[in-house]
Amino acid sequence: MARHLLLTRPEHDYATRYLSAWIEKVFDLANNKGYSIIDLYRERANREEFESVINKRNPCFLVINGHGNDDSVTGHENKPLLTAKVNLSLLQGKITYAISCRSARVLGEEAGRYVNTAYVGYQEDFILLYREEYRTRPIEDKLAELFLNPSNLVVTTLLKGHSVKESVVRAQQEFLRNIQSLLTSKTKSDDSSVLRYLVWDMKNLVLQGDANKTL
Amino acid sequence: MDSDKNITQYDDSVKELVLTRLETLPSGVVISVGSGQEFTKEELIKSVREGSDIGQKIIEIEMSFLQGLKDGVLYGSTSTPN
Repeated sequence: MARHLLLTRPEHDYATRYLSAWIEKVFDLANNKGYSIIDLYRERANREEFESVINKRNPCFLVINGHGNDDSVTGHENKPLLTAKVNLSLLQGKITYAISCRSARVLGEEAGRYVNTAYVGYQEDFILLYREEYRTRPIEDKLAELFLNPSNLVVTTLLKGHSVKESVVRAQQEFLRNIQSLLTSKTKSDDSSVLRYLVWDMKNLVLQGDANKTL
Repeated sequence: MDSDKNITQYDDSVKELVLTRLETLPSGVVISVGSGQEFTKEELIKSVREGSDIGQKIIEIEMSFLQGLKDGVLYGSTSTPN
């Protein structure tokens, strides 16, 4: 039976456009590993479709790109997609990675209480830096890459069969590699000024729930 | 961005330190923080000066970074996952 990977990819501002473009990089690996991709792109990233595909196709892995706060994550045009005490039970038995602000605090913590369930996300605001000149071609933005490559490692590590805990550790290690590369003597001092934001994301990437769960 | 409930008020010396750091950000860089809020370097500097919510957040990030330096975060001392 095909395993399903569900992604939400709203694109209503520059930040969501960056997240959307960069997460496409995992599509090939997902296909190669035999996953069927359910891509809720732009307007399709809404609560109705989200709930419908989870109920009908039961994806084992959810990757949510979008904005968020302590107890919810949103879809296209910042409309709520997943909210604590409303439709959180949809995550039961699954692995979820939310690339959004602060959702690991309450939403993720509550999701992690379900048996055999894991939630990876950020317990504080997820910070993304990018260059204005690359807004229309985010995938070429080397500054954004420093933030989004480590983030994608959560997904690719899981797709390769490793545990949730391992996926978070590897992503944090990648953040650290980027931080250390900025510290080298060849780095321009203005580039190293982004260090503090990478450290912030690295420190706030956490997992809730079953750390040993795999796909 | 939703405002934090327990914002620490930072004194002027901390603000000055953060402003100095922000000046070193390259021009043309945009920072996305919170729910769809995006700021240029100049806007961040203004926010810190004015003590707005986003200014407070930027100071918090700087203080967290300095604490991280003390804890050896640049040398691999990250917190382990839950």
